[in-house]
Amino acid sequence: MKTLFILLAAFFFFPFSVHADLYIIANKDLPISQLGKSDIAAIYLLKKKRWDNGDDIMPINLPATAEARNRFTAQVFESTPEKLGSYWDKMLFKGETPPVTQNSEQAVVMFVERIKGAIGYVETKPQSSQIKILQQFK
Amino acid sequence: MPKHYLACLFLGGILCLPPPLFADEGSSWLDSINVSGYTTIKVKAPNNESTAVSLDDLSLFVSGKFNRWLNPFLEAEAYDIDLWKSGDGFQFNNVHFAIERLYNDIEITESDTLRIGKFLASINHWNIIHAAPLVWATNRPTTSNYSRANYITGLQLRHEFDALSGNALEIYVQPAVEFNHKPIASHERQYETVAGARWIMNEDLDYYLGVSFQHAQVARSDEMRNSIGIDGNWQHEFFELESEFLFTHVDTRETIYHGNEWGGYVQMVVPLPEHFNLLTRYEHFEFAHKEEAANTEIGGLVYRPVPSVSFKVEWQQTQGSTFHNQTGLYSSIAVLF
Repeated sequence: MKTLFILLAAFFFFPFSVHADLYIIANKDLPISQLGKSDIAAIYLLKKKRWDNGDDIMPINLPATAEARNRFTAQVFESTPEKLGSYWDKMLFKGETPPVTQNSEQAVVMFVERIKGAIGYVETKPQSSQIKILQQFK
Repeated sequence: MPKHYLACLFLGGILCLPPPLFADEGSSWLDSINVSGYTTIKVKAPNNESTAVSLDDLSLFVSGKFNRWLNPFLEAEAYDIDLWKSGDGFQFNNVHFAIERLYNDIEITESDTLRIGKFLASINHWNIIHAAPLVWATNRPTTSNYSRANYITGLQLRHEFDALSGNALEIYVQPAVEFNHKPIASHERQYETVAGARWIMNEDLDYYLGVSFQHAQVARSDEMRNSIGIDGNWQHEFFELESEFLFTHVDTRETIYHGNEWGGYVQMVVPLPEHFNLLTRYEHFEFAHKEEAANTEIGGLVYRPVPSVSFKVEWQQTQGSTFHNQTGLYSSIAVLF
């Protein structure tokens, strides 16, 4: 009876789905420790192209079907992946290279570990010592 | 120099001059080259002409991002290739090639970019983003491409006031004729010296707004054109609204002209279920060299399952001058790859 009560209480008092946090990650060698939302937006809109030390910025994306991409687009741009995808297609025609897509969060972490200028977003907090977290969205 | 040699020279330059790229030692300079393109198959059935199917565009673009100084871009295109015509049947004997864009961008600072070569004139958003998969209609509004030079061979300086909002100023100049221009029809013009500017007040995911000016000297003529235009687009959740207005003062001793040319259009797209979209457009255009103005209405459906693929079918109704916009049914399939 006590277990049933706890389960019912949990059902009523907790949200039906709990989102994990969203982490904006970069290589540990990058000489910055934090990145604001507007800077993240400027990077993914392909308008900010270099870090302060002159290194090229390489934004990394997840597939269009990934829930993390939905959340990232909503958090940073208050928009939809379709709208952002359409924007990137237009930028491609203008000669800009859209973000590189990796198939999984694990692949994003490995890419950022390997490439100094890369920046990505994941829902699972990375444990790698090669990675630093620049921003965290609840 | 033939255009094919120039294209080979361009690609050869990219392949033979590989500067170092990322901090990662394992990455290749090839990672900095991006190859993409788009293709459009168009079906047109105007009231006064034969029904025809054509490969309207097969465009390939190659860009390289190497360092601040070397960011080349090439767009080569095969266009207007007739595939089938009622009465004549299947055919493939009329292929045209052109180099649409060939330039290098130099990033002077993070906010200032100098472009050198042949590029699209910054007269409006439609001219800069004219690839068929990225626009809603098969037929381009007359306001968006008539009356002004669409291509520039020369220099352009772009200054960004604010990267996030896209607030920027672009100033360009063409000192002589356009490089590798397409053959022009009798009603079109080739431009010699051109200078212009566009102030992009905002360009983000939700809306853009720009004001432009262009001064152009028409080749082999005393005709000079001064144009001002304003264009904008607003993407709301339930519709997308787009508009452009243009005024051109034509200065010439030719008696068939009556001084000014002006026009504008309003286009609305409403998303429907299952990736379908409803398209409507109205355009009015007064030509400097004709008595009769053109009024064009378009209604159509666009199926866009993903942003880079579109299937369009539209009915165009034109009153007045039908030189540019003939009444009839138009359809196209366009893919960005």
